[in-house]
Amino acid sequence: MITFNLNRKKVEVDVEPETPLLWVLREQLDCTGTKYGCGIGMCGACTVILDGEATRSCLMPIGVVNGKNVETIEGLEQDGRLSKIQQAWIKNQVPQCGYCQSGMVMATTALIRRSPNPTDAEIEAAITNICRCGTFQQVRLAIHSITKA
Amino acid sequence: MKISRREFLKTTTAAGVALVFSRVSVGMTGDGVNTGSQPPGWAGDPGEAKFRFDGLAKVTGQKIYARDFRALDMEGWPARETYVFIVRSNFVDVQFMGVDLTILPGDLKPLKVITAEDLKRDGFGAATREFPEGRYLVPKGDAPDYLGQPVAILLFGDRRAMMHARSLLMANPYVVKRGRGVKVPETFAYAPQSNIIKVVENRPYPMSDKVVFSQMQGGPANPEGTGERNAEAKKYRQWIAQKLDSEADWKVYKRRYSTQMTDPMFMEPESGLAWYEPQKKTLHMVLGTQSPETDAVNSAEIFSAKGCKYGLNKIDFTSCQLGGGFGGRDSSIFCLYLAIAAAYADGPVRILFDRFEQFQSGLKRHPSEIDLAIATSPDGTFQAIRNCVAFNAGGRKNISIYLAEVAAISATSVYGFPLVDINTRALRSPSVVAGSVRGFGVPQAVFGVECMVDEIADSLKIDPIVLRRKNILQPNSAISTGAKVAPPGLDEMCQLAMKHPIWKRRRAFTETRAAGQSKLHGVGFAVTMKNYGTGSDPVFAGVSISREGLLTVTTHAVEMGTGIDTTLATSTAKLLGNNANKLVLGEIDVFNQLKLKESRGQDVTDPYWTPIVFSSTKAAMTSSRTVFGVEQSSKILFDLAVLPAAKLIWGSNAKTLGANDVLWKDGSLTAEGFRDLSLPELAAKIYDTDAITSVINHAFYRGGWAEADYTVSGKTFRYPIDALGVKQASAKTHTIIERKNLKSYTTEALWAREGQTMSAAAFLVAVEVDTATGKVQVTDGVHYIAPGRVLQRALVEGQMDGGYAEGLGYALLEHLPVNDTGPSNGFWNLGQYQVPLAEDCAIGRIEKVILPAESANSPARGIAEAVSCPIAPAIVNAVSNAVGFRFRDLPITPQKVLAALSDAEVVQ
Repeated sequence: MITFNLNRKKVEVDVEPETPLLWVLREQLDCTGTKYGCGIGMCGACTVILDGEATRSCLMPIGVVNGKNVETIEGLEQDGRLSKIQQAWIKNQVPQCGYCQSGMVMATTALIRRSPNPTDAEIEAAITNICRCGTFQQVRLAIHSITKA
Repeated sequence: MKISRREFLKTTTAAGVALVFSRVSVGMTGDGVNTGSQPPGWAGDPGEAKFRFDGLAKVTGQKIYARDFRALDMEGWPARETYVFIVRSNFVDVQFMGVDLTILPGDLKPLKVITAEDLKRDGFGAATREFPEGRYLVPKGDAPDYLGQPVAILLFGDRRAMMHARSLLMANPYVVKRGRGVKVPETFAYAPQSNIIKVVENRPYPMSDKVVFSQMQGGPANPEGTGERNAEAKKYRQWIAQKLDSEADWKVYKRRYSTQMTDPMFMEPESGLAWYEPQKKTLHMVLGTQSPETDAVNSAEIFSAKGCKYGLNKIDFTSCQLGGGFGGRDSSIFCLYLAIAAAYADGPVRILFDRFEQFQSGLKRHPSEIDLAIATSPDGTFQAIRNCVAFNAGGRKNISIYLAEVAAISATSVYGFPLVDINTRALRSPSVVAGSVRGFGVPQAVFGVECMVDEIADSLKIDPIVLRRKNILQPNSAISTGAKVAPPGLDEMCQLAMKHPIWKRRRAFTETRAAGQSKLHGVGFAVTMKNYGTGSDPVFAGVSISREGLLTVTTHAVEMGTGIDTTLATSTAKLLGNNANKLVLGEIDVFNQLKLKESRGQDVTDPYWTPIVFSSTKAAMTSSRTVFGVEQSSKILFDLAVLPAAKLIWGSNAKTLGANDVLWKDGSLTAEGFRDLSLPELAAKIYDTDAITSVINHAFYRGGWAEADYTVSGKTFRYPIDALGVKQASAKTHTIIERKNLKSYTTEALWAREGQTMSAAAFLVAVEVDTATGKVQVTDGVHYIAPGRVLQRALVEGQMDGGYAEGLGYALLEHLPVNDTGPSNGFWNLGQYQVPLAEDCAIGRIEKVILPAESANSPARGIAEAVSCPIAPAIVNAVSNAVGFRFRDLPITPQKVLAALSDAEVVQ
């Protein structure tokens, strides 16, 4: 049995320890906001925050997550209010098809917590997620709109 | 979350099977009401949205994509799923001799192995509508038709078993057993090929109207065909060839170019759920597709062959939001494997392609071989073009002949040539199957021309943009078919680019270039046009007003991630002064009140006839077609209800006021000398007088909008629609208004009149080349588009961002081999296949220039594909400018740059 905190709530799952965290989230816990894109840690669609760090969940064995804190896109909204990053994403019309955006938002959330006023270089280094709709410009605008607010 | 609330779109039949379409609800569209889940305050001023409706769902991770759903999410379905893995071949030159699953341990053995022999025994047929090839699995003893062709479908009892088995099977080349070698079939061109021959007298440019031969004069011709017209086309083809070889006054440039196979790489690999209920003979399907109707019809057809063991009366088809598509989910064969697997499973099945499988099997962008010749006068006046583009379609015809047809129209790029000889063809080959990836063949067709224009300019020592302007098509001038449909903006973009500081840097780069520099810089430009719409586009659209003055837009169209809901909700503002308060997307039932009958022939005497009643939503139709329909209903509601109500309120002094005498201002209707009227006040009068409160229409575009006269309350109006229904406040249903004097265009109208509609785009770009690594980096640029009337600026800019990134990947990064080392081997993923990241895209340094609409009546043009077409040739021209070597084969990899640098051919 593996135990961890998911979005501030304790959860237990009975799966093989090498099972990727992504599959546990999506298939066992029905947290489908975190997306599968490539399965090899390249695209970032599966990004979650693991003990404060943006992490590609498709490569993270659930055994390693035991006892840790996992945040997913479903956990950002609190008391009925979207996070400031989610709000900025909507205001700046970032999503197109939207499939990669959970990962983008989680990577940005981790970045902003660590560096509240990131430079363009920091953003480029931290947000290495693929968006095939090409929303990179809007992502950057949205991040700057938060930091300037 | 149970999917109990779906939007029911359409009920129809195909091959004797009832097809019921529905869609998972997202945001405002909901079950036809405002669900409250859209972010508050979306609406800006009339005609503007502050943000997209679907934004909330997409930034909160809501369950909206096919991959998110399981059987237990579907109301009434058994919860237990069977998981599917499709075994594929990676050879075409030996017999397939079955699958060897002995490497799977006992707990990973499949429950069932479905083979070609099973399909034959059980009487499955071939889908005929778009996929006439059949052979969904390779029979034992036969050689596969193409690389990656499925050979067996395996069913597993749970996801874990499927995933573990998949890992083992895909890594092992001996799973698919091989027999003796066989001869690979010869490559041939799928019929028909596309040919455009045009001959204009009284050269040189500007051309006269004295066209000797063109599509406009007699329709398409095939120089290889029989008959007098085709013989004449052949004669002209030969004559043009002779002149290209022997005309003494011309400079003739002949080059070969090539473009590579790429993957659309939409982010959500294809996924789906299906459940076949044998007792009810019903197949339920849940998937994300760009062509739901085609997928459902094809699925019905394979079950409908005589003697099929699996009877089918109904398909219940649920569409989900698309995690990207870019054409790669248009007419994908994925749906058929889902349907077949469901038939053999005991309960629901689920297919979850991983990225390796998606590369292995997904539709690809056609690689192409381009054989191009352009002749100019010494002063740079273009005289003749011969552009032959061979598209490698792979092992299935799919929609490749239509793609080649569209490519032919754009194969002269944006220039006027007195002599034109175009041949485009889709070749059958053993490669992975290609499909309608963004641009639909035009990026390939224009690539050679836009690169060669730069080469000619350098050769003639003319500025490349000056040369372009010398030959560029002016608005409404004749394109290669002879149709006068050249879009506005082409020359304007050239002029703007010439004045831009980036272009001015080009000369400086060239002059300061010296041996031994660690970084080389170059600037490139390209300008292109792309048609939009599909050629025959039907639209259902309705607008109604409530007693409180709230507007509702109703249409058959569905949201595919392109922002159609946001666009439609603002499209009432132009004629009714206010945004829609409510959207009902994917609605069909209300339009059944129009009682339309569909047939392909012309039957203008039947008041209910139309060429096509309904077709599935396509991204290219949002702005150009669906908005048109909504605007017609808005206009009719204005003419028949809003303006009369205003005149009643304003009194007898307003009796002579017409539509041109009033103006919407800040949501109110205004007229000089009269008080402003709000929409709620007007609505109250409309209801008090039992006037018309709802308008529904059917519009049809085919080389022009069908139009007819409609008489209401003794007044006759002519509207560009072919069916009209109106509902009074007190009525429960709509009344059909009889149409008279219908003008409806034939299929031939696409060619015989100015049927094609075009959008212009251009790209100016600067690059930096690292001479040590060969890496090319875009440093800055300007992206131009002439969309006509802009419906939502943010959506236009979003498409420009996407088209740019996609074109950049095409120019510099993305490449798939067409042989057995390519994606069919099952080892391709994002480790090998590089797509652009933020660091590649010069974020913040690509200026977007949206040219203003030419007039208040400018159409809202389709732009999603147009914006991507000039990107790759502009980048290639920039790199050629930097390196001093003409690159003619995509993509320009660092290896190619280094090779060129070591043996540079100086062209400046």
